[in-house]
Amino acid sequence: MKANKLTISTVFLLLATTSLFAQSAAKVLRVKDGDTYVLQDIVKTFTVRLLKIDAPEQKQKSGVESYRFVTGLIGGRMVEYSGTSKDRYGRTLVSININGLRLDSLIIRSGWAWHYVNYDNETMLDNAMQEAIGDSLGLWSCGSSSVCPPWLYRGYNAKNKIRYCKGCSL
Amino acid sequence: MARLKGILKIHGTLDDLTFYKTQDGHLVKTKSSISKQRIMTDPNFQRTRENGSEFGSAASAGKLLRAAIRALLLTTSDNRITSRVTKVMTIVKNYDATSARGLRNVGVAISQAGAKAELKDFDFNIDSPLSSTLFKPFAINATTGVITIAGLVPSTDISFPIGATHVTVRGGWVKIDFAGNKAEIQLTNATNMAISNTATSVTLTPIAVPAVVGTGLFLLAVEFFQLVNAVQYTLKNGAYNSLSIVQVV
Repeated sequence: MKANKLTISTVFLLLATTSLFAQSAAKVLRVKDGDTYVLQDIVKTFTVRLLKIDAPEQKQKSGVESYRFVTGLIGGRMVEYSGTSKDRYGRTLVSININGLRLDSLIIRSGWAWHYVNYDNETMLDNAMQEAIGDSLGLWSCGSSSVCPPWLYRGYNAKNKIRYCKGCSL
Repeated sequence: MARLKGILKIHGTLDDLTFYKTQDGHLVKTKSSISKQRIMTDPNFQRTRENGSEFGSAASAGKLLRAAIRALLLTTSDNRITSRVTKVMTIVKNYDATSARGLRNVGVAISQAGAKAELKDFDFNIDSPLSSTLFKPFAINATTGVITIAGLVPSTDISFPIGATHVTVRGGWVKIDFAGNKAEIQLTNATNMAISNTATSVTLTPIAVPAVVGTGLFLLAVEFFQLVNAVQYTLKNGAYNSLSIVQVV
């Protein structure tokens, strides 16, 4: 009897642990910007943010182009996501796969987002960004000196936005 | 027209009351009952006119200083720098023991040791004083204007904000003739370092000796940057940068 109870609780614990790391499927209802999306699964609609990238703000140079690229990639489609923690705005911080490919690496390699180096140090994403810069893709079309990271852009005054974030005509 | 914001937050003027918002919060002031004409002519307001005149000259001295160091000030000042410089100039002006009331000015007062002491260690960014940023002693050669910091280890000798990867140290030598309303600054070279455990001996040399004859002010600035993709970006609009008057001669 005691052994049975132990087995049941072990199985339950394993299932619970597995579900934490399991991927769930959801439909992309809306792309808010390059890194923030509204997903809908069977029970709820919720906003998620990609964990390891920072895409240009909509008001920022290349922000609209980044949004359009991601919309074309995942808009209205089913994706797999994992992650449960939330940021200060209540968005679930997630990793997203689409057809078995990591969305963050796809966006970075296409040159439409920055690797969020303040919060992540994954070498693969760093390399992907350097390759995108080398190929002058997306927001790097005129080099890396005329664009600024979104996490700095958000805090900049008008003077510094002109100085660091002027971008180039795409 | 007064505007209601929230429950009690009013903006604008209602009769003699003016409601306004500052960075200190929502404030209210009453309209003065005394006319400008009366202040300018009434013998009872002689002392007020004297104070106003001295304040005006102190404000002009402050503007002369701010204009002279504008190249350094652009990235290293807080948003109340004008009033704080005027305040310190008002204190400096009080050291003028020879001029009559209403005519005391910074140009005469600055020759006094006490007046120079008031200007020394003045921080242009009150949110990030140099004494709380740079913890390594430095030497100033008052003849050549060279500032040296021996064996500066950025990671331990500098208090750096989160996200900063690089720091730039630079100086300036200003000479100001407050009485003649003339000023000139000579900037030094800038030393840019990665925030690491590597010791660097910093030598900041002005391009030339300022030609203006007057009070010499030596300034030292510390600026922080974040390196991303080989570009150094300023952090938070310079909120953590420091600039201070380190010596007055």
